[in-house]
Amino acid sequence: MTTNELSFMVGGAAGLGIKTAGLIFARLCSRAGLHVYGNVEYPSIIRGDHNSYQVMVSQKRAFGHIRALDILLALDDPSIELHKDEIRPGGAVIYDVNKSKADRRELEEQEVILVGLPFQSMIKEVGGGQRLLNTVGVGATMGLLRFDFNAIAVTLEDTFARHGESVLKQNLDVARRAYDAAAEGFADRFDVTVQRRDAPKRMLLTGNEALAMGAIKAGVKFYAGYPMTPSSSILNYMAAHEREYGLVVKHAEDEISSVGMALGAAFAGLRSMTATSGGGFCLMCEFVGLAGMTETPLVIVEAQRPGPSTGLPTRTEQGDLKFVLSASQDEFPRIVIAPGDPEESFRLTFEAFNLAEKYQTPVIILMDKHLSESTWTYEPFNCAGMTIDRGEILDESALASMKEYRRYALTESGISPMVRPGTPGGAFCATSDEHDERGDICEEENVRSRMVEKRLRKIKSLDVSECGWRLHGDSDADLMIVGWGSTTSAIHGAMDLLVGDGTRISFLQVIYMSPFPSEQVAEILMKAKRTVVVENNATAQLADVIRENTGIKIDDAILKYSGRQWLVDELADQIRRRL
Amino acid sequence: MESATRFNTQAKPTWCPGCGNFGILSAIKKALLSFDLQPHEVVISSGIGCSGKIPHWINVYGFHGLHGRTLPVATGLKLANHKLVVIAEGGDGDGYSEGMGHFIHACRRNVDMTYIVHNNGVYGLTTGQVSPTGDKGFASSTTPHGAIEWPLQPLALAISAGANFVARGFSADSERLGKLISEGIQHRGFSFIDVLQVCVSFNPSKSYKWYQQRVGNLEDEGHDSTDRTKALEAVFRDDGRLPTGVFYRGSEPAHEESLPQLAVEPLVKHDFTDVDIRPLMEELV
Repeated sequence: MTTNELSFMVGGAAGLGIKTAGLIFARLCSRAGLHVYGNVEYPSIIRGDHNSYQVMVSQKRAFGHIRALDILLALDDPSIELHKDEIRPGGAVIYDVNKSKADRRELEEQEVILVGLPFQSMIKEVGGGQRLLNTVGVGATMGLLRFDFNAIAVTLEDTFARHGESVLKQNLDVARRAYDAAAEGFADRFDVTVQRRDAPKRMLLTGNEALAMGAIKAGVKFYAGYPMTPSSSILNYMAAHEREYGLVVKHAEDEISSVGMALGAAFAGLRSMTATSGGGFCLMCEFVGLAGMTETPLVIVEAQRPGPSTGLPTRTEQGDLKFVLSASQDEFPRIVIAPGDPEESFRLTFEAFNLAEKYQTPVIILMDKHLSESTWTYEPFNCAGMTIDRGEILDESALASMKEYRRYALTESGISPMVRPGTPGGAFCATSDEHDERGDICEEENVRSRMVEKRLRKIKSLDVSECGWRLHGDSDADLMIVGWGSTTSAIHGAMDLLVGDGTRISFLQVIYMSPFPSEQVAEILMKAKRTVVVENNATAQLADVIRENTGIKIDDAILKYSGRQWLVDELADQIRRRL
Repeated sequence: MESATRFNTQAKPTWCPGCGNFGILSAIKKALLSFDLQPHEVVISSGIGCSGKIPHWINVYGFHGLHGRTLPVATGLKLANHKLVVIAEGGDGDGYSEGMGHFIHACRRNVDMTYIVHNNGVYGLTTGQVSPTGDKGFASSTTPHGAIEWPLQPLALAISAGANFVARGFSADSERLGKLISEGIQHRGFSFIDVLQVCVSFNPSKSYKWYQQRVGNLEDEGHDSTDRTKALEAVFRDDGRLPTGVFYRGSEPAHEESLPQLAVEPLVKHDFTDVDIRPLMEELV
């Protein structure tokens, strides 16, 4: 009998509430004191076609999913057809005996427990419609796992209370029926249970939710965006919270306008942000350069998805690293940060606003669909020590003591104090043209050279020697994995699986892509016996970036570019082959 | 500072002698002087082109950004600090070609700002290509055999897109243009002023004399600017005249008035040194 370790999937046609079912299940487990990892897979279609939500439940941290399923909750027959090979012997498939016509002989041969329940009859008995299908399924799942029904009721109340008394009652009634039927008819044959355990309260959150909270904590006051998966949930989150946190959120006419509005607000002195995916970022590129040229602080989130072009709109990839590092014409300083998990998304986004204002330049946060939309459990973030740094700003009295204000003064650090429009005595004109210290258009050779140097000099004082990377494990391990962004999670999961093999594996996670922690990364890689990058792209872009910055060639590459993230056991197998 | 020269800069404009932009520059200064405004209370955002350089020669806060993109920047600026007077400047290539999408949406968004478009039917800074308002048949370096496209009608577009202050001025009559800009600044919401302007270098056939023979005054005709249909009729009137003045004036509330976040103070004055995000974390438990 296994307790509190399981792999669950709910599958069905888009529009059946698959994500809701997955999230309810994930939240139930999280509230029971367990760690959860949840991943949603869906096509870029609103109704029809196959959707799935997979949840890993564990008493330890859950880093990703594995191929084998303990339970498949199949809300339609294609789910059985698509995932039957993933159900382990002794696992269970929960399905609707009223409707399903799927051939189940193969499953019986695989010794899968067939939990056939009359979903449609149950729904009819409580007088409801197909909207109850996912609740029936979750009720049956929890019955099979012999989980405390009262806990289910509380979570259903949270989810459905806003839809009114009768909707909630139907959900509770139908969940109870399915729960009892599964518990009484099948639970004694099933070898996994879920039990509440004492644990600190945990949040169940996506990378985008964590990132948005980091921005609100940092005092973002203006957010403009245009919907594009997988960045849309940031726009939705910001809009949902705009009034309680006194920020203005605009759904602009396009990505160009989004970034333009954000830049205008930043020029006025606000902390402002926009987010998009690769295609939208293509449209924003000219403004990235404008922020560089006018030295305007700006935070942009680029949540990657597979391309080129429209690509696979709702899937994941890490293919935009080199694009983001060189986007927009000519040379100017930029800061590019790649969080690896929700907590880093939260903290690094907070930090991004400080850096943007301190260095007066664009900061790009690289996310991807896997990190943006998957869920993990975390204890509430500790905000102690998070302090706001708004950089060098002159007010009216500081200006009054100056003979002349020069917005782009050639300082030693390259950073010239800013003033905000509205400040008496500071009127100047910023321009996208090359300019002199006052900001006036100037094409003199000497001025041009000094200004290029000034802008590039600014970022030299940004020290990423400690924050730019993380080493997990020993530097002299037999194999050093090198990775970035969302693959961090699967790498940790794979390393957990490989512990038993007796091989010493370490993991170097690169966090700052620009400026790059060249010296430290070089030093660590020189000590490594063998190195391999793990990336969700086809050309090992991080390996190229490392070579460009350190001259070091990574020995090997494990790459996946199918539009899906790594399963932890699949990645562990790949790593094992390199040992 | 009460001086009548407070909006002047030391730097001098680099436009061609006789350029229509001089009249617009002088009209904007007249408009600003008609209010009790100081240089720090005004921001001018502009695009790229001859028109885009205008904030360099007015002593206010300026942002000389990208071709076609003055309106998004001005929108962000205004929402960030709605106490500022925000003026957006663009050209006909800049604003009606590259920036047309923003224009339509700025009309319906109705953020309080005054958008002045320097309209001379031709690209000046890239030396004489036809613009979206250039006449059909106009021969230019990109249309050596004459433009085939129909010129677009910015006033009609603005009226149909929901703009609440739609006007046309003439750069050579900077007295009246100044008054029009003052009215635009006073109007709460998006004010659009298309300014007929001479390009002495690249569209000389439409000379000052050419315009002076055609420019009319809607006020003198007793035009009813509260009627959208009449405004459109005035735009499309086919009598060879070019009426100027306010075509349409509505009374929809400005965008900012629907944002309670801006009710007490501008966003730039909000304190965020210690934002409490515990409720956000709690809702995820």
